Amino acid sequence: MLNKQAAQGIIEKLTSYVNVYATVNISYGSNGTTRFANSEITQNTTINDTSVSLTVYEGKKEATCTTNVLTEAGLKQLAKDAQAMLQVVPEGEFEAFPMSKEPVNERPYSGELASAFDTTARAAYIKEGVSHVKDGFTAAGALVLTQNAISVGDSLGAFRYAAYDQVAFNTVVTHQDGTAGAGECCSYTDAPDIVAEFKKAQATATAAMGAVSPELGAHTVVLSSTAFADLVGLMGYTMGAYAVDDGTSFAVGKMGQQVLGKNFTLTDDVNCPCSRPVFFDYEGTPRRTTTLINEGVVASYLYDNKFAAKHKAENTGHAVTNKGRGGYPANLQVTGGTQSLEEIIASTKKGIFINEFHYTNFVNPRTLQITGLTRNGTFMIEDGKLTTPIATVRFTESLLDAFNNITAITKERTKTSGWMGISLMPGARIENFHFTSKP
Amino acid sequence: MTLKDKLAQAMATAKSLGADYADIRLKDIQMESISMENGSVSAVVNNRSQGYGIRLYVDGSMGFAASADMDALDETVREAYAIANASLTLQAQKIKLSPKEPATGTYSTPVKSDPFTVPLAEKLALLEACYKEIKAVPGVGHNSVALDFRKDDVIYADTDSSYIEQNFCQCTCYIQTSATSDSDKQNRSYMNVIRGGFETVLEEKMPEISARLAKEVVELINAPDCPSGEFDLVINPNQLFLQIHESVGHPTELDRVLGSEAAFAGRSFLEPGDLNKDLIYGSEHVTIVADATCDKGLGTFAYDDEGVPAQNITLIDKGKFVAFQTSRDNAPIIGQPSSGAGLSDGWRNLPIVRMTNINLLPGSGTPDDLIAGIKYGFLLDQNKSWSIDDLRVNFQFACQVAYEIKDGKLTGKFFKNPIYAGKTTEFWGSCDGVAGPEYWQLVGVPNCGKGQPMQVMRVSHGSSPARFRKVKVGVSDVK
Repeated sequence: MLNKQAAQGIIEKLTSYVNVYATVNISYGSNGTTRFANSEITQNTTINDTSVSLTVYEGKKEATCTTNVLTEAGLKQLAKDAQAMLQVVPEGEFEAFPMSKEPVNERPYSGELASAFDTTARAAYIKEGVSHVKDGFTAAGALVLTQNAISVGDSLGAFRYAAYDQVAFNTVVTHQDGTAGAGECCSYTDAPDIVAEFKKAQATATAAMGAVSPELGAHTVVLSSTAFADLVGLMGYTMGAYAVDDGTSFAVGKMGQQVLGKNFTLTDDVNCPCSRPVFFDYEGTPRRTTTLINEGVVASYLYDNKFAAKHKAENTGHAVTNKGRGGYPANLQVTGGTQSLEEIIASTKKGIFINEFHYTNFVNPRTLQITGLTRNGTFMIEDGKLTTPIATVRFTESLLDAFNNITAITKERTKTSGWMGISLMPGARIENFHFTSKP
Repeated sequence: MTLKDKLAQAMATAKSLGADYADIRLKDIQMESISMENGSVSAVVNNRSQGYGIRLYVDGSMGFAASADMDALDETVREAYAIANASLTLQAQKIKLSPKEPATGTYSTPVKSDPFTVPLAEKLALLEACYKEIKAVPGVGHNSVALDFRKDDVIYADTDSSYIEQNFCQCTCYIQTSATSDSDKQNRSYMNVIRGGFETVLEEKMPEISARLAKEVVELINAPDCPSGEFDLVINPNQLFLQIHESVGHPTELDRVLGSEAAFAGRSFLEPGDLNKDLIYGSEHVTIVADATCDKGLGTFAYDDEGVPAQNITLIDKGKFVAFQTSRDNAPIIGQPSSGAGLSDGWRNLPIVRMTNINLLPGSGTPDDLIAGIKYGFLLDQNKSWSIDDLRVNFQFACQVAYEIKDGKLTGKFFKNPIYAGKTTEFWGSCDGVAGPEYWQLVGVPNCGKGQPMQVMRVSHGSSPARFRKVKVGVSDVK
């Protein structure tokens, strides 16, 4: 693990090599992944790397160089390359935005997850989990420990540092006829129950056997938190100011307007205990908890330095680069409802329960039209009960329509792993959801 | 001690610890990205990443460790060895590697003009020339143009005394134009990624393409939506590449077939036994190869990342499925040698089965000949969206534009938001014509994701325009 002192030392050393305003980003990562398939460990890897990016500025000119060669010579070469590039780049749109020195939270690094999920422990967890897989079924998946340290600073003395571990696990238990069930869990803090997810995947796979092909057309669907998170995540990525500015986002010109039902509130919450404990963004700006959709009304976009300046808006601290890409969500949450998942299913006369989506993608982001397929546990709901398992089916649907047709949201929310971090999501019931083709 | 000696020593250490076999990939990767948005330079970025990954086998179980610290070679070997021993905790069958001869050799991408020595001013001038063409068209909205360059210097060594040095160079050209209305946004874009030097960038004629796309996008925004129904299609290579990638490339990867990717990338509708079943994958017009030797391909090399020589294998022969793509750790399961598809993303990752250049071989005639055989249908151009199921059967793609075909001719009318969907073998079975070799184009894909941790690979797909009959277009029929 790259500790705070070492990170600060690199930033101070690197900025001393240049004679202009400069910012530094350091990313340390150690990834231990134990993969299994056909109920045996098949791939088992560890990766260690630290990369350092130096951006130098002069007026409206800027240049960025990155390296993972962290020797004295490597860092000097990095500074030399960046300064040489600065001499030949043309001016961009903005001068440098000096890094914020506003205090931010810092969660102490514990290292407990790293100890509990080292290579030996991961293999043992998987062995125990596989022991719960029944004859005729096999398990595949991965148990991953990542140890991370992120640090940013500048030549004027700004400095930020965060270190954290993450455990992520997913498994699919598959019958020899192809029927499958899935389990997943993730955490930045407490140790998740790996074996419970094996059991869940096995139970789902067992129940899903004998699936029938569904009718295409409009259906009432009840989505698990995993499936709902998949859809919400896609929507979240269109809430950045860049997507609004270039016309891609559904939210163009919709600020303050009621676009979804009043039961839908979407927030990016950095202060949630389950969120990634990094309280600053790539540019060193404190992350602000930001409500994107408030009771169906577009409430905010996500910003970085350049787009906050363009829009004359407050920077929400969601930069993932310093190249002006707007902001991206990292800790999405949808506000929970009042019923349990069981109660929602029980109150559904006829519908389809979807445990997981696969290969969701935008068809048209401007209308939030997306497509994807079901997998790993889809069932008919008849008279309030899960009944016949359903085979894979494709949906194509506008999320603007779908999220206007939410008739129930679960009160319980679960942690789901996304591209940028862990989300906290409920399940939901959606009316008039369109299945468009099937294998 | 020379670098070669150091790697040999690391391999010897692996053996002395008790490894049955070990290999190492040392990679030094340089990248440069230059982008311009709406006429302003938005990023000039250089990146260098170097390190090595060591894979070893102990009693049929695998361990892999990667590090950027060249002074930690010995430690990294020992870490990989410990990981392999941990893998033994849950071993059902011992992994066997397909045999290969020890190899010594060198290879370099043919490069006339090293893109890293071309002055930045020249690259920026090219982007500015593109922007000049774009801004000359009234009504164009957000636009961006970019160039990316990448060099991979790779050294491979193993405990069988192989030692291979390879140098790869690739260039990316990117153009995007857009137009918006109160309720819509449409894009016309172009991207190609090519193995070669800066001369390949100049051959792309980016300013001319920029002008064409800009003119088209301002018309596209006001075009009607593509009709829904069952239509005959001609599909251009800049969409067909992804059709090949998703519905032929991935399902013929043996690791997917065997379930190794079941929990992440997914599986395949194919089974190992399908090799001997005369499985009909497409029509007689469909011959698709995995060719690691083709000119300018991102999957072109002399040796893969397991030290296996490059090959050109036929996957589908006149419609019949005949081969899987394999690597050393899974080819023995079907009693075959590796097809030379064991590749790793950078130095951090272990080799897994990856596409090389998966190409649809050309047929004969011209695109106009294909169009002439359609009473009413569409010519589809440039991918916009993609999705395919877990087993790679049900796909749905959207394209940027559909040009109308009526009575065997393009009418000049076009539609926006075309979507088409189908099932893999039915779709390839409906192919009744592929244009000739003079229309064959190679399209580079720089972002093929697979594996855990996610590996992002660069692959290419070649094709000529091809015709498909009675394809489902649109989704409005079920709304």
